[in-house]
Amino acid sequence: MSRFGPLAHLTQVMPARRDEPVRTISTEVDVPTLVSRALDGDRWAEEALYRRHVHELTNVVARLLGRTADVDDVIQDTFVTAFARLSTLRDTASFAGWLRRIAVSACLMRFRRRKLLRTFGLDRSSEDATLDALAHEPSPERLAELRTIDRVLARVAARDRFAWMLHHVEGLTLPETAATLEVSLATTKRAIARVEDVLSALREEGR
Amino acid sequence: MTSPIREELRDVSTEARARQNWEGIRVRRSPRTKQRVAWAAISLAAVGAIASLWFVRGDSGALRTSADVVWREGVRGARVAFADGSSIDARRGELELLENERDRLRVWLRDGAATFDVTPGGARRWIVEAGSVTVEVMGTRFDVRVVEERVRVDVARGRVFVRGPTVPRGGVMLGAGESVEASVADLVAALPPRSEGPAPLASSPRARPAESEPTIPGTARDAPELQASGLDRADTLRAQGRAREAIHELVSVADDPRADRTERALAAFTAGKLLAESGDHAEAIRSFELASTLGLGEPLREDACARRAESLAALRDPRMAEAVYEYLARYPRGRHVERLRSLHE
Repeated sequence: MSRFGPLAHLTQVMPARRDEPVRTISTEVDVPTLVSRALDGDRWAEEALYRRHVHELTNVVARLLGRTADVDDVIQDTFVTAFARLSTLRDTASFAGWLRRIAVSACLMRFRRRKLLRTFGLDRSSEDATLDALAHEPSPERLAELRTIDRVLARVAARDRFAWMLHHVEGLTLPETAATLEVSLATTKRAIARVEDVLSALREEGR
Repeated sequence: MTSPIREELRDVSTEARARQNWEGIRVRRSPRTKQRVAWAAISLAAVGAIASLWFVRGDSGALRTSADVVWREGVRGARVAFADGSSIDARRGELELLENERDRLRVWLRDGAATFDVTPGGARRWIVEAGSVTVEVMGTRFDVRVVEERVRVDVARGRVFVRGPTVPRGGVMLGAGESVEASVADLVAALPPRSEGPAPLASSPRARPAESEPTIPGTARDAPELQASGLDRADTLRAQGRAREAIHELVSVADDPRADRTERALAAFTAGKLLAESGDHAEAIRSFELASTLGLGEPLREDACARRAESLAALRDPRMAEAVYEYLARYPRGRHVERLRSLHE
């Protein structure tokens, strides 16, 4: 069950002005309807779409990036881009997947920028959203395992990291992972295999 | 498929973060922000284009014709178009080029009429001399006509500043649709003979020794000798404490269109200083303006700018604030910054 408990089917929409009441919408209004209304310039529908996806997406982005400092920028970039390109969305029911693709693309850009900054010794942010840091009361064995995974993920290429995380951490199927990364299924499998190889090697070393 | 790893992890998303990000998205999507971003992009592109032109244009930065040739000669009975979009129509007149520099273009309308179409926003100041009248402009369209002993300036677009001894009040700012006509003959008739040495100062220190024939800019005869002796005489008179006579000598050099421009500028600046010291701030202002127009080198240019502002302040002239801002903008770390700031405050 969602962490929002029994109120999960409700989404609060913040008022534009202070004197306006907070509106609560039911998630029974389906996504295609909200997309359609947003395309007609309905700001309420836009905010509803944001509210419905932001929490899930924030967690995905934080885990992919491994640090919380960049999360807000990526989330804002994602939604600004999404609303600007909303008219290009063909299948309105696939809004969540489409949004995730935009977010993953923004995360890749962040990784490239991070790499550049690191080259010039300017990347000083700490990795505070690694798997071991986010783990909720893990056992010592599990914590050690997560740290090993983190070390591997920090070492591999960004696309390999994302493929492995989308599949193993976020639980996407291989086709979904491939679609999110906008690469072929074979490429996705190879990327995940590369990470697994490094992980296996490291586990062997640990024994 | 449900991921075992994801379920072990805690959420980083909070309501406060979601709200904050929504505010950020709203701001970034607002038309004003988009407009700002667009303007920033346009400004950046413009800076890039200007920088490119700066390098492409080469050494002197002189104004080029549309054929991309530096304009070096005047024009007679023809029209000339420039690379920056400006043009001069001198099909009914004769125009001589006096200066073509990075920051100024100075022409002399020898005869007839000419229409100037100056592209606004350029860094180059256009100066048109016609008889005893000087027209200064940054971006506008205007006509200048020399007909017998009179000069007429008609402004079609923008603003120009016309000045000269025969222009009403010494100088006038003209807007679109406005005109001014000044007499060359009046000026010549008012001039006392020069050969008699330092004449007693007339009601205005700008009344100056006359020539036997009308003054024509740019046709120097024995000018260098005359200027040197005029400045020397002024120095001697200053040393003797005869300030007013020194001013007279300096003004004579400064107003002599045949004289060397650098000498004229120096004379005008020194005259301005002496005039300000003697309390004649109105004339001092005109002298400093003339010195700046003629092209003072630094640091005298900075001094002239500051002293003009001080004289304006002494006269309680509302242009003082503008003059102070001009100085502070040009010389943010200048030698007179503190004094001018206190003056303004």
